[in-house]
Amino acid sequence: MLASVHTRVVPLALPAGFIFLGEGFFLFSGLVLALHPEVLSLPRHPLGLAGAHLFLLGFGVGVLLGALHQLLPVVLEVPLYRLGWGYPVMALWALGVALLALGFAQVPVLVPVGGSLALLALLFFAYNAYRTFRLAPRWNRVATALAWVGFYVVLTPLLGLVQALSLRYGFYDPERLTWHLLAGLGGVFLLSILGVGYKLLSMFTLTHEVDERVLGLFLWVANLGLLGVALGERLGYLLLLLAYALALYDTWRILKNRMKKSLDIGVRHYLGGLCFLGLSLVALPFSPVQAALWFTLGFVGLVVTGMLYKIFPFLVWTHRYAPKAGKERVPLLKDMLPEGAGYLAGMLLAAGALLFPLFPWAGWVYFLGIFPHLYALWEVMRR
Amino acid sequence: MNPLEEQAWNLLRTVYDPELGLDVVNLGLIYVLKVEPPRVHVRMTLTTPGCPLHDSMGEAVRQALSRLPGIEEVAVELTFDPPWTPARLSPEARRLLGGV
Repeated sequence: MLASVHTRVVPLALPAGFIFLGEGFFLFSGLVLALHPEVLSLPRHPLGLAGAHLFLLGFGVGVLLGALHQLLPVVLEVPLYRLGWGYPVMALWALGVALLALGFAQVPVLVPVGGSLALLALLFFAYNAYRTFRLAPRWNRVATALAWVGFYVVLTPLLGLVQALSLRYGFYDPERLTWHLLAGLGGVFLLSILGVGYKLLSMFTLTHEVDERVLGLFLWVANLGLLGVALGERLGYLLLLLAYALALYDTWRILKNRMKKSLDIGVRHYLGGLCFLGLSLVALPFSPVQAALWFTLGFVGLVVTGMLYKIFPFLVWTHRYAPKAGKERVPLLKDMLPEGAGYLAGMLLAAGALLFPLFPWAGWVYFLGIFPHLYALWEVMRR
Repeated sequence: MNPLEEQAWNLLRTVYDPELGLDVVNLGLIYVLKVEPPRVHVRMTLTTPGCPLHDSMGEAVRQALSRLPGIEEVAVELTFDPPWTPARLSPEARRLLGGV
């Protein structure tokens, strides 16, 4: 076969390793929330910090890293600079998350150790991504979004590590915790989900001819908004609202121009996640804790689980069925996913996320939602 | 169209995009098909530059056309020039996608 570019096949073990380790952290974080909802009433409760890091750094960043090993080549139209570097990144990141969570929960001395390992892993990944960016034949705004994510994915653990060390060595600054939160929630998750979401949503709905200028504007507005909020400026919040409006407008344009009319499970989860993002932004000035919960459990939780229903079957299909395609009949991606389990998980996760900030027992609803989600992914592996 | 070419097009209709559930012919991914035994040359594209199906689809097309009688070599050239647009979808593909 003649081909215009190099091979882009990623070994299943790499993204799947990140995804399954991330799912393990997801399960643990859900259990912490369900068993200890009291963590919400006390700022910086050790178990609250453990649960938050298991969810965001473990589940969210784990799936993001796994997906990016497949998506960076798609966005940049070039293979990853060093595919094999993904394995040490995975080992450092997983060990870092585990030690960090254990440190927060029971052994404080492990916090800087876990944080350092996680930072090392993310620096390693960011360097690999940077070298891949430099190989890209052309640039686009989705790539710009990913470059920003690469910046924040290093800045966030760096700020967190400084915070952890400052508690021990006496230069603690509460402002830095806000920056750490904003860099993580806003810089990593908001920009990655809405930046990569633009590409994925277009691919899943077969949408073409929607220009990227709105995405470019969104990136400017969102970054300035995050900076404004970090500096305590009210304008920052207004800019974040404007960024949200731009993301909604972009989503509307993509859906309006789509060729594939029926909205699949991944797109529906994405839209549900956007509703939680709006709720979180509205709540932010009045109740930052509730806003953070709706953002994390609702926006990040729904979008990440929904995207996995699209990404994971594709990874397994490429590994298992691509060599047989053209020779014999092979299943379609939708045949590999038990959609009913995925939708059940989505409903439980959405209900749990919505109610948890108001009714602590809803942590169990969220936790229950993780099981059909895991079952759906397990079935993908089995089919 | 000679019978061998017709058979080649029919074989291409068995190669599906696993995400969309449509074959490469109805999706309009095939730009050129030359059947000149013992060789076949295909020039094709994908719906998105850098599509993650890049290698799989090209290889599936090669495998399908290898089943043609008297063919010993199948050359598949992937190109994004010109890029694919929805205008290349067949009426049948539009109907199945819900666009008509």
